[in-house]
Amino acid sequence: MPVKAHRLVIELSPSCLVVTRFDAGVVADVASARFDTPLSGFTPSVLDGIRATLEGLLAELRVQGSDTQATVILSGPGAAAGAHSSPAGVTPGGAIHSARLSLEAICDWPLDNAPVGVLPIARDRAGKSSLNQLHLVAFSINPDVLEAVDGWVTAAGLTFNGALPSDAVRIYHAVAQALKSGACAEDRTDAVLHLDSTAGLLVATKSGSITLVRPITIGLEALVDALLRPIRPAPDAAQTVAIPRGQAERLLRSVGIPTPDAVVPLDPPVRGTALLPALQQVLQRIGIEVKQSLRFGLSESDRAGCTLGIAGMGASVPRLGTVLAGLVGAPASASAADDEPIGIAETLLSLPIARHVLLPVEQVERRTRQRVRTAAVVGGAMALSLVAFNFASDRSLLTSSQTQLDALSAASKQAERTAEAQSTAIAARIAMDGLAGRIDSTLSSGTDWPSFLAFLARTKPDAVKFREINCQTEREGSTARLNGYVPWSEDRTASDTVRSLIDTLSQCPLVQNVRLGATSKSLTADGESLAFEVEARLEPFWKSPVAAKASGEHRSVAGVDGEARP
Amino acid sequence: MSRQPKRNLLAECAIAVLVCGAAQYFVAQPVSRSLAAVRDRVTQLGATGAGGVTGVDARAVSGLIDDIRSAADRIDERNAVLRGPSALLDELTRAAEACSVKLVEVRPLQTVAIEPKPDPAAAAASAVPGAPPPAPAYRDLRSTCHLTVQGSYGAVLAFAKSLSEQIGFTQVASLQVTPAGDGPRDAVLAQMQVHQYQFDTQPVRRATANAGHTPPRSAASPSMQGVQP
Repeated sequence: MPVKAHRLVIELSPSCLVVTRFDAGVVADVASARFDTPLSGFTPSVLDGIRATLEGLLAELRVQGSDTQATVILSGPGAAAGAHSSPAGVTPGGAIHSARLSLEAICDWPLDNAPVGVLPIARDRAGKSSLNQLHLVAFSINPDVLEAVDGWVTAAGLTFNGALPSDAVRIYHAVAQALKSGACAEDRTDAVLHLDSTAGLLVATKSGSITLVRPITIGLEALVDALLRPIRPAPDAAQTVAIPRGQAERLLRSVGIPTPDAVVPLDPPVRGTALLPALQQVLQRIGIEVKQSLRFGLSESDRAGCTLGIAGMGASVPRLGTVLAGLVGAPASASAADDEPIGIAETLLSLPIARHVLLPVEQVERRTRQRVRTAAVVGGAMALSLVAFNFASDRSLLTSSQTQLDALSAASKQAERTAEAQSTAIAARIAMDGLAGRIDSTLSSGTDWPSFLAFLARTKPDAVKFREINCQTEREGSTARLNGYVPWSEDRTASDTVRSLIDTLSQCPLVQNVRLGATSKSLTADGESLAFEVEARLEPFWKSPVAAKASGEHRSVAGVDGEARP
Repeated sequence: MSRQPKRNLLAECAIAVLVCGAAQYFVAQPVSRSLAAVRDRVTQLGATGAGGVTGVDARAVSGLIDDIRSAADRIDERNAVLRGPSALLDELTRAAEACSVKLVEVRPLQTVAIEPKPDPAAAAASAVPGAPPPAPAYRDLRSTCHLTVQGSYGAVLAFAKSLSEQIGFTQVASLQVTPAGDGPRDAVLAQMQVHQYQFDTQPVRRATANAGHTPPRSAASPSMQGVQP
C-alpha cells in the first residue's frame, strides 16, 4: 500500500540514482539504481530516459503523491560548487561577491541568469600563526539542467523542492566539521579526507584555521568498481571469481583494504593479495590527488608534520586511512567513523544548507512574486485594520469628547448667561435704587396737608370756627395760615380758646412753631366774635404715607432694605 | 526578475500602499483632526473654568430681575395718570364721586421736567473733545394742576387724602379751605394745587432689557409726551 512520504532526497549522478525517504527527519528507507551506461548529462531527453527508473524506485519506497517534496543532490556536469575563503576583515557582501567570482571560474555556464547560492559556513578560530578567514561555499546549477530536473521530478508526481550540487553539501559539511573539531593543536597541520561514494574533499586545518580545501574526484564507488573485476583466487588459479556489486559494497565496509595475508570471506575464500592489485590502482589515484593537493596547498613546513585522517563514508572502510596515509607519506590520524552520517542525503538534512536549495529562476521569481503579493495583501490588510482600528477608536473618543464638549459648552453658556444676568441684575438694582431715591426725595419734600387738616379738625376746640385755612408749601418750608374766630360768649373765654388752639398746635410734633397773628373783635354770623390769625410752620420733611409706601416697595425690590442679593 | 512582472508587482504594491494611504488620509485623519480639535476645545473650556461659576443662584438672579421689572411696572402704572388730560380728569372725577365732593374746577397749569441729571458714564465720555453733550440719565416730570372742590370738610379732607394715596404720585402742594358761599351750611370750598409726578423708569428698563425676559407692560415714557422743559 503506497504511503505518503514527507520528504525525499534524490541523489542523481551520471552513474547512479539513489532515493532516500525521510520520515520525521530520520532515514526511513533507501532505494538505488545503477545505470549500465553513465549518463551523458542531465538534459530533458536523458532524464526522460531514467524517469521509469525513478518511478520504480518511488514504487519500491511506496512513495506517491504530489505533496511529497523532493530535494535533488546533483553530481556531475551542470552542477558546480567551490569553497571560498575571504579575510575576516572583508565585509560579508564583499566576501559573497568574491565567492561568486570564484564560482564563475569553475562554471561553464554564465551565472547572470543562473541560480547561484553563496552561503557563509564559519569563521576560523583566531590563532596566533594563521590568518583569520571567513569560509563560504558557492554553488550553482546550470539553469537548463535545473529546469530539466524540475520537470523530471514533477513528472514523477513529486513536488520539486530544489536542488544542490553534491560538492556544496560535501564542502559545507567538511569545512564545518573541520572548524568544529577541537583537535587542531597549535602549529600542527591536520588534513582530513572526506570520502563519499562519488567524490571526496580534502580539508587541511592549522591552528583552528582552514588552510586548504580541495575536491577529490574519486570516491568509494571507484573502490567498489575495482572489486567488481574478476578476481583470481591464486596466481595459478585457472578460474576467476566475480563479486556482485552488493557483495562488493558489503565487502568494502566489512573488510576494507585487506592486508596481503588476510583471508577474505568469499566463496571460495581468497587472500588479500588477490584483491589488492585491483584496489591498489584506485588507492594510488586517491593518494596522488591528496599528495598533490597537499603539495600545492601547504607549505613544506606544514606538510612536514601534517597528519591525514579519513571522514565521511570513507571512515567506515577499514584500513583505508592507514593505507592512504602511507601512500601520502603522512602519519595517519584517528577517524571518527561512528560519528559520521551514513550518506550525503542524511548529511544534507542535518545542515543549514538544506534551506538554501536552488530553484529555477522563474520559479524563484514566481515564489518571490507570490511572497511579495502575499506580504502586500497581508500588510495592506493589517494596515487597513490598523486604520480601521484607529478610526473606530478615534470615532469613539470623538463621540465621548463631543458629548463632554457639549456639556461643557452648555455649562459655559449657562455660566455666561448667569454672569450676564448677574451684571444685569446689578445694573437694574442700581437703576432701581436711583429711581427709588428720586421718588423718596421728591415725595418727601412736600407736606401731607390732608393729614394736617384732619389733625386740626380732630384737635381744635369746638368753639373755633375757621374762615380760611391756607396751606402753602414753599421752598423754605410749609406754612399753614389759619384765619378763624371764636364766638364771644358770656364767660368771655374766647381768648383762652384761641390760646388752647395754639397750645394744641404747638404740642403737635409735626408743627415746628406756632405764631399768633392779629386778633380783633369782629361781628360774624355767630355774633360778636374774637377773630384771629394763626400761622403754623410745619416740619419741613414730613413724609407722606404714599411716599413711604412707594419708597418702601421700591427699596424692598432693589434690595436696600431686604437681605443682600447678588 | 523580468521587467513586466516586476512592474506588475510594483503596481500592485503601490496600489495597496495608495489604498492604505487614502484610507488613512481620507477616513482616519479627519476623525483624528476633529478629535484633536474637540480635545483642544475641551481643554480650553476646562482651563477657563466653564461651568465652574459657583455661589450664584441663577434663579435668584432671574427672580430679582423679574421683581425689579414688576416694581418698574407698578411705578409705570402710577405714572399712567399723566398719560393724558382725560385720564387725569377721569381719575379726579372718580375720586370726587367716591369722596362725595363736587369737582368745581380742574385747571392744568404746566408740566416741567425736574432735575435732569446726566449719566455719570456718559458724562465721563463727554470729557473727550468733540463728543456730543451727555443725555440726561432720566427725565422725571412734574405736572401742576389747580383743583377746586366743594363739599363738607371731612369729604374734602378725604378727597385730598385720596389724591395722595390713589392717583399716581400726587402731592398736595397747597390747600386753601374756605366756607362755601352756597350749599349746605357746613360746605367748604377747597382750592388745591397738586403736583403729579411721573418718574422715568427707562433706566431700569434699559438695565433689564438685556435679560430678555418679560417685556415691560407699559411703555409710557415721559419723553414721549409733550413737555415744557
